[in-house]
Amino acid sequence: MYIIGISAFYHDSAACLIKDGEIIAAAQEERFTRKKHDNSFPSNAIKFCLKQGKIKISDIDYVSYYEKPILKFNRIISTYIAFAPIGVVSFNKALRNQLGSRLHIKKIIRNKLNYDSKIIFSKHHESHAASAFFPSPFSEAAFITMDGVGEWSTTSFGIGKNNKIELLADIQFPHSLGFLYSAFTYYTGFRVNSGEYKVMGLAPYGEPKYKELIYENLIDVKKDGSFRMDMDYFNYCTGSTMTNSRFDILFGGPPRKPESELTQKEMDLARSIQEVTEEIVLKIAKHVKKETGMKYLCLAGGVALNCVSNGKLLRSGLFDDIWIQPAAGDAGSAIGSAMFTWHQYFNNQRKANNKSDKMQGAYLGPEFENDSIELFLKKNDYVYDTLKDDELPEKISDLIAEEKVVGWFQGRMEFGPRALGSRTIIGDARSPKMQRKINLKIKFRESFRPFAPSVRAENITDYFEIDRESPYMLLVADVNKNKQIEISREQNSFFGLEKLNLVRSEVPAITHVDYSARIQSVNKNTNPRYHNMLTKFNNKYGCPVIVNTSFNVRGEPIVCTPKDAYLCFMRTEMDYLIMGNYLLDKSDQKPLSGDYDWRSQFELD
Amino acid sequence: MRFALIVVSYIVQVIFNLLFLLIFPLIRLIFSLFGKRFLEMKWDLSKKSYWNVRSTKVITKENYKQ
Repeated sequence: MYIIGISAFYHDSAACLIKDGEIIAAAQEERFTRKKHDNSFPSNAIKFCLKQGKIKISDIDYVSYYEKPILKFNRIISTYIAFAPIGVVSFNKALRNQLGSRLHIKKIIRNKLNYDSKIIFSKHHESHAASAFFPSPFSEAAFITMDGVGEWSTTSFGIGKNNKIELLADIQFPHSLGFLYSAFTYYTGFRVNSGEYKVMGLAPYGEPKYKELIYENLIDVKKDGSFRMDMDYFNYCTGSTMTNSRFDILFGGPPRKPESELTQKEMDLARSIQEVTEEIVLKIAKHVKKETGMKYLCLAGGVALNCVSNGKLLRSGLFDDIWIQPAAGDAGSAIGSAMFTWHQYFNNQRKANNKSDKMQGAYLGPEFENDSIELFLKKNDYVYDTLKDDELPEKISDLIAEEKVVGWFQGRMEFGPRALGSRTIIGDARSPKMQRKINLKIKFRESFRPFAPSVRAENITDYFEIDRESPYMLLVADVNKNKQIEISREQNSFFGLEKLNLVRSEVPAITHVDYSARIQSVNKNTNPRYHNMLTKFNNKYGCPVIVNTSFNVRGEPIVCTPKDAYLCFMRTEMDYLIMGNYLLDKSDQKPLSGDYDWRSQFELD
Repeated sequence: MRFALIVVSYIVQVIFNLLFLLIFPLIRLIFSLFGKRFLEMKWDLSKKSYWNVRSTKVITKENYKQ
């Protein structure tokens, strides 16, 4: 049985194809349309899924949609009634955005896909829960879902057992941990629904000065982690901003203007909301452990992308192990909804061995074989060298050791927000200048933002204070003490961004100012070519860790095709590009003609 | 024809605005007389928990058709 899962019309539209419960393909629409967080109907992603499955739309038995439009409509109208007459501008905007037409999802799906078979609607948080539990390694586990909002739920927990999930309790709109974090994302001058990870990255530069203010005024948190917010400070129910003037008064001024200079205040706010979030998540997890008695925990929903919080939850030891859906945001709900239909709706059995998950390393997107890459290079008359399979790992490791920045384009594209060694920019983690170089000359993004390491799975405990693999870059842990470099008392007293350029470890390019790192462990079974290269780098240069950042520039979706990769390579100061077995040296390439205004293509995130 | 469409779209917008400004507050008022709130917004410091425990009603396949 073939099922297509769809998430659409909020942010990060995506599609997934499963065959008899196995994931065949999954991709986000943004990768094809080149519009970051694209929320349009995922026609391109569906087209790719069908191509990957070598089937036609008429072969699809069921389409499953990730939320219930009627319940969502009910929540939106109830919210307007609750606040009316405030919110008339927002109401008009919603009408212009075809609020009503979103009720006709069935019709939209049938028309867009020319599809006339059955359509299933799972609830938003059921889809998240299904995306967390069904592909997980566990035969039974508790789950927690936390995001902005689904239909009504913003946070939920329950139990997954074999082929069933059961939601036990939830917290409902407007009280939302995701929106609380997004409110601070907005107030600190970053873009909502994409800048949250910048707030997380900024937090270690600050002090938690505003924590008490948040607890006293913005959120009432009970011992069991449940919470309610004081909506007098927020504007997201009926306005076009996240916070209002009362929020401004509480925190001593208006929101920071996007792209203006970051001050210590934003860093302190980031640290404060990060700590509040971590404390609430930990309280919820304790309650869930008490209520369910489960050994394992699965997480999904946008808040589950907060890898600092995830790392602390893991280290709390509340659960023997946790598994987080790599596409924890709404994109992953396409997988959740499809798997929900297969297991829960049709009562099909599920196998789990408590060891390996069913996400195939998240390498679920399009792949370009050597033939098609070579055709592209030849057709465009680009200069390249061809490497043999056994030459490639050593050549790339040598380039990394020479402090070159390399675009790595191999195998199937990742599903989810993280680049995991398929569409990745790599560099030498030992180099003190690498973070600044990649941030400013290649990614064109804020200098404070840290980079993540890729580490051979076999060496993860040698370099990081973590006792298990972290294949999806969703756990943060400290660099091992014996790899850290002590800094002087004077340096220790630095504030804010002064902390940025200190060498803190043997791998400074991936060591954040609090000695933490957002780790990706590379397993030889899921990504053998990437693992081989890391092994060669380790054997030759004595370091199993490299810098890994997504293959894109700021505001651009991660590259999908050889053309996207070549353009990104040429528009930045990247030194080399390896696509399949073909190596391109920047110095051999002719400059792109007529491409001076390319940055206007991508809206800054 | 084009002018007529523009006029109609303005009229529709005015009707919806009237609905919003007059009918929505009225609905809220009537419901509040019966103790019904559309959104639960107030903090309740006496409460031990804000979790909404899910009912155990049986969910059938019909529930997933829309």
